[in-house]
Amino acid sequence: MDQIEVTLVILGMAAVTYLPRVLPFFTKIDVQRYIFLKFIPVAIFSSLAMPDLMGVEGVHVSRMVAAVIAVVVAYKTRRMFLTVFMAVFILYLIEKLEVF
Amino acid sequence: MVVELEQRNNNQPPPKNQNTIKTFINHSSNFGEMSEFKIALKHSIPIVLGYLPVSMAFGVIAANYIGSNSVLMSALVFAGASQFAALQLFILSSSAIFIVFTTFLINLRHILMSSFLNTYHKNLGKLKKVAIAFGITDETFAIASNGLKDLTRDLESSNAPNTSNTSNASKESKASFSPFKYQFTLNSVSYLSWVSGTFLGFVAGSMIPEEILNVLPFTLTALFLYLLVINISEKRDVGVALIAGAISVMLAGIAIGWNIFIATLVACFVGSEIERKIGG
Repeated sequence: MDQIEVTLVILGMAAVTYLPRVLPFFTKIDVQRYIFLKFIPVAIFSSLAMPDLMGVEGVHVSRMVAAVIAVVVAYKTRRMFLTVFMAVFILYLIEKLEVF
Repeated sequence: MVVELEQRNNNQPPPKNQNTIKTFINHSSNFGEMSEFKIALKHSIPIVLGYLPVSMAFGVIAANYIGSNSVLMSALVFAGASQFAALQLFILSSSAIFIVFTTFLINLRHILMSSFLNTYHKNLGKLKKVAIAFGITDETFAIASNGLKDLTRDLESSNAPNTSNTSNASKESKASFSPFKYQFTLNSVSYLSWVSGTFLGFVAGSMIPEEILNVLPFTLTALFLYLLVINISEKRDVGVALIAGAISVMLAGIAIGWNIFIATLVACFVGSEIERKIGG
């Protein structure tokens, strides 16, 4: 594929990515009527995070340890930066020191 | 980078209002002191920290295969997972139609995020909706769904006590917070970090040491976990999270993007069924 073709494919990608993003903003359906909408954040955050911690082949131990610490810090302190910092720092230490 | 993050964390100005410091987001939603712009700027820091290494990695890898089109892709598509998938398909010389269709499937999940965020933006004009829709990603959704919830709730609660002169006060403060400005700033900063990160990766290769580059994307995972924890308010939320997480993990290897879409739909459906059975 030459570079012009790649550019055309990217334009196509841009179009099909934008559509699902923009259409819900113009729908006439009152989405709030659907009860399940309120569960969307919890469901999405969980389905986004979990595959980073485990796969069908097993658990990523170092990331899981960092994640458990993140969950505890989030629950106890409810502070975003502290949570994110602790998680990344712990993961860095574990990988640096090759704990697992 | 990590040390820098800690310093930034410590350098937060001391809270002026003790009641609003429970979470960072709550603390930030002090309208008198901070504009939507500044609040959104602060909220976008974790996204920027997560986006820069990932987009740089994308730029480094993509530069070898699609050249400057890598920056174009980040600028026009602005959707991480699908960009890496498309890059892989470019490398495998897949057909154009297949690449576009795969991108569509991966990014269909944003329909759920835009639907949810539209509850905060439904009264906006067309142009503003068109503008913010472009910047809806997993991460901007994550921050905005939470930020907007807190900011609008703070408004309601701060309006509630003084019943004597409610109408004037509520009209004034309602007008003083613009969900659009907040969302647009958040999206723009995230977008700029994504595109400039791609550009940096494209021109300069990897400048950050690999061991740090490897752990920084975990910023985003930690961000999702934080938001998951603080959004859980009752037992059925835990159930919904467990179902969504399990399905997402099981399908992750099979259908990228779809695992999130299907997991979210099924978990939300189960949650609403439970709610209907036992009463909400």
